[in-house]
Amino acid sequence: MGGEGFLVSPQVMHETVDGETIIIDLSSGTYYSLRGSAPAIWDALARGAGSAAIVTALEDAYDAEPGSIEASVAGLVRQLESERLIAPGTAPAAPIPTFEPGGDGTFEEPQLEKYEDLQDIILLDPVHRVDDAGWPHAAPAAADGA
Amino acid sequence: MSVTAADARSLPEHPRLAVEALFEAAAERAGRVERSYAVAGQSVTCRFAGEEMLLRVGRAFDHLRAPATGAGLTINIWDSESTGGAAPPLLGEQLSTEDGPMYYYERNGVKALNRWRSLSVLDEESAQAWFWAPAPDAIPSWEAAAPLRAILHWWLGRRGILQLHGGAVGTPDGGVLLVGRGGSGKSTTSLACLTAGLRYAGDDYVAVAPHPQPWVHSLYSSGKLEDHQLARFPGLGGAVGNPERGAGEKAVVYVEEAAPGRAIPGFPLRAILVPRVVAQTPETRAVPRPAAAALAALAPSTIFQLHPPQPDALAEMGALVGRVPCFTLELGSDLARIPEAIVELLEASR
Repeated sequence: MGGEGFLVSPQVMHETVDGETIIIDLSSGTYYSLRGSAPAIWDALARGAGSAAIVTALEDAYDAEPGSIEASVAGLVRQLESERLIAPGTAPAAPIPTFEPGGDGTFEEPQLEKYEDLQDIILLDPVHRVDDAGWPHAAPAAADGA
Repeated sequence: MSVTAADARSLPEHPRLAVEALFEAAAERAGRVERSYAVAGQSVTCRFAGEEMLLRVGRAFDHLRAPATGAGLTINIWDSESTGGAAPPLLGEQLSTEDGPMYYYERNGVKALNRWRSLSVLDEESAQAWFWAPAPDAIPSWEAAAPLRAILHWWLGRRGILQLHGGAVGTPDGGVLLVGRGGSGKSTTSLACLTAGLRYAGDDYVAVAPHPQPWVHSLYSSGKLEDHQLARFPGLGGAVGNPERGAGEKAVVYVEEAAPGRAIPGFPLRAILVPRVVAQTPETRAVPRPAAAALAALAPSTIFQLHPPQPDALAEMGALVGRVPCFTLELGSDLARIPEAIVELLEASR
């Protein structure tokens, strides 16, 4: 596993409430729920931490089978990259992540659930698409006059 | 009267110039009609060119009529067919959609959105907005039921007031927000409460001021029902705004016309309910729901319908579900039991 950092897609809004993170992808109309250890890992990723630093910090905080935390973090990062919610990149000042074990101190597997039931809304309404330059962001085909 | 792509090439330097002169000319020809409203505590004056657009979009605001103050937002509203004027040019970049072209413009405090053949423009600095449609009938009935949504979202959003995808019912002492995607039971629940001492603040779009105390503001007195649902509300049959609707088109009812005084401008927000049709039993009951699950029901469908969402909209909604108790409202088959469950919940929240 590399120690590179990640950047959250500018198309994404996210919010954590009561230990659950809701991620909304404005470009696709898809939204996600993160549970278990996933919200804490997401938070560290969103702050610019690399996956190696996250694994080290989690292993410091929890007793777990050797390699299990690394595999869990790698699995979640793969999912997040696959969904284009994050992409490799370097944050300006990536902090060293820390984790506070909750409950009985057992490491909870990260969980990501994907919801696509609202995609019909976004297909009709591309004004939500954003990029670093802000609003609006035309689809290439539309910008070409298609 | 149609808007053509060629019009976009003649865009004037300031988008205000593109619409102001057209509206004034239309108003000269058709006459001016003014209506003043209090929308989410903000004074809003609608200036219509002629009466046709007043009849088309004004009905939804009847419950918010207020004395003119001369301050606040002025929205200039006209159509080309009844006033005989030219269509305004398209503003901004073309975005592709599955139901036709759409244009969006945002620069120097001016926003414009052209979709479904109508144009909305807001100039923040002058507190002036414009809404144009080719003809009153060119506005779909579901849009006429919740008109000027983009302009109000832009204007209220700058004042810390969120436009949410949800219904709301209550009394001056407090009420509930009903959230969830289309078909979840928001309209049925909202309209079922009309007969039971609760008042109506909307079934699909309302505004909420999160601070200092969460407060629901009604935007529209309209409600939408499928035909089979309409049959369950015989008292609303006389207030259907689109009696000659097409197949699959929902009936739009205007609550202030069907039941004068039953619509309410707003109330303190006591609870957030996520309706879910159960129907195996006649009873309706409210079951506590985790705040995150309420946020998942509220936020995505709200944000996907905002043009565009404020950057902090999700954080504001997250804070809201953290401050107000949230419940799943398991809807039974007996309509009369729905308001009973909500009244019980509100009494317990006092």
